[in-house]
Amino acid sequence: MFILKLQAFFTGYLVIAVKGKNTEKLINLAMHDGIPLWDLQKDTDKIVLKIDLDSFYTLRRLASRTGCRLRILHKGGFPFLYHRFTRRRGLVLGLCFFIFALYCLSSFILFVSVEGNEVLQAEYIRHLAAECGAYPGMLKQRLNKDKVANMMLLAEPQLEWVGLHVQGTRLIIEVVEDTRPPLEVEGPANLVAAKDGLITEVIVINGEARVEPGETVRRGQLLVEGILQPQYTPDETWEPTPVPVRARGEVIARVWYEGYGEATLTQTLRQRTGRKTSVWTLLVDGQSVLKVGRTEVPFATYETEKTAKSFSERILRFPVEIVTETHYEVIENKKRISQAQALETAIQRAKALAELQVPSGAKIERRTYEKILDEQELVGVRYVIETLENIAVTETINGGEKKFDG
Amino acid sequence: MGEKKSSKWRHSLAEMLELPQEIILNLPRITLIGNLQCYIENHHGIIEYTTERIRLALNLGELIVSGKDLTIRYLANEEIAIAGTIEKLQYGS
Repeated sequence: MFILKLQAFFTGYLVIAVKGKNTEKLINLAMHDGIPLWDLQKDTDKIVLKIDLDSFYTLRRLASRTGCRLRILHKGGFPFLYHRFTRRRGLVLGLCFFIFALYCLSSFILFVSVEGNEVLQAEYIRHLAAECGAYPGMLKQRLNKDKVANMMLLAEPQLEWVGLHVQGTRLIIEVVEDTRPPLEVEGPANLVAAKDGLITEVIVINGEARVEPGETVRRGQLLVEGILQPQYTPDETWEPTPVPVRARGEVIARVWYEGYGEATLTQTLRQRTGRKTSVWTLLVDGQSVLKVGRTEVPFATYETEKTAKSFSERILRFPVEIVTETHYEVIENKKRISQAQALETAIQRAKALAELQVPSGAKIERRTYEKILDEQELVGVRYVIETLENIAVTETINGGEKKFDG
Repeated sequence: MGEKKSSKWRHSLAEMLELPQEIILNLPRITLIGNLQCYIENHHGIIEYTTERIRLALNLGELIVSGKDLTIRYLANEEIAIAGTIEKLQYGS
């Protein structure tokens, strides 16, 4: 019934009054003709009813046959509404203009609010955001949230995190300020060796050196002690007591990094022949459900590559995965290389291992290598990198965490 | 006599196959929702319509729905929905 009324609204309907003696007869005739009527209401001398727009003409014909008189009381539904709107262009135009204006105005950022600030002024943050490219009156589309947030973070060191989000026409800048206490730089401390090395230079800014250039030190050894001997002695009996201070300085040392690599004179080269077979496995929730392809590998020697492809995880997490296993046939070619070539390979391998250990700030002084293994089929090389670097690290005297100083 | 025999046969068929009887026997199906609405399928037309009384033609005579402020919510071929305050349903001949 509801569907019928909905349909009637779109196709249009009429509210009519039926007057006459044989109103029941008219209704029965209409019913038999398949004309749907609804909301019939009996008044003293008439029946008010609703009828389809299309069926009205049939009803009118029936009415004249039964001697009933019809009067249209009201026209309803979409066609009549549409007709009324076409006559009132101004209203429709105004409506369109209103929606358009609403749309246009809502595509601008009109307000900027700041949340989460405690120390910094909201006005200041607003000003900062404006300079970074987020100001009231700008188009929402033009706003690059990540860029503005990054620029704000760079411009103001007190900000730890900046998040921007738009709510309607309001831009909300959420900030988190740096509330950490300033780094602890007080308290007595020693400088100790971070690694083994040969001291070449000791620069003491504060404290007393315990090592001299030319000495070798082991990791953890005390380099500069954080004490200060009082220079002033009033008399012989006065026992000078050292004052603990925070040792500062640099201890430059030669540090060696070693790497070992070897190479055989016969090399096997694995080459793909181009033949391959694949096995596809459908995984649902980590369990294999379906396997397609040859499970036996028809090759004597082969390499296997495995790739997993899951369905668009960005939109919806779906526990279905397709794992493709591809077996490539390979042939192994044995190749003899010369002594010099093998040596070169060994050096490259050893060098790579040694370079891996060198810290980024270190100054490389010397690179040496020596052949420590030379057999019929095997060459072994040790590669040594010598660097000059500051090996001093601060260690607080009352036991604390180590921090690199300088 | 033949009519009666055929009706009996249909009745037993409906029983046996568990078919809806109103279809097999061509009877009206009346659904009453409290005293608010009355829904009648398989009727043959309106005989009388006033706000207190609606008389409908049925296969087995006449159905009189009495009440107050009766309106016909919907009327189509063989279907009628009556709304209002229904007080009495009565079969007439």
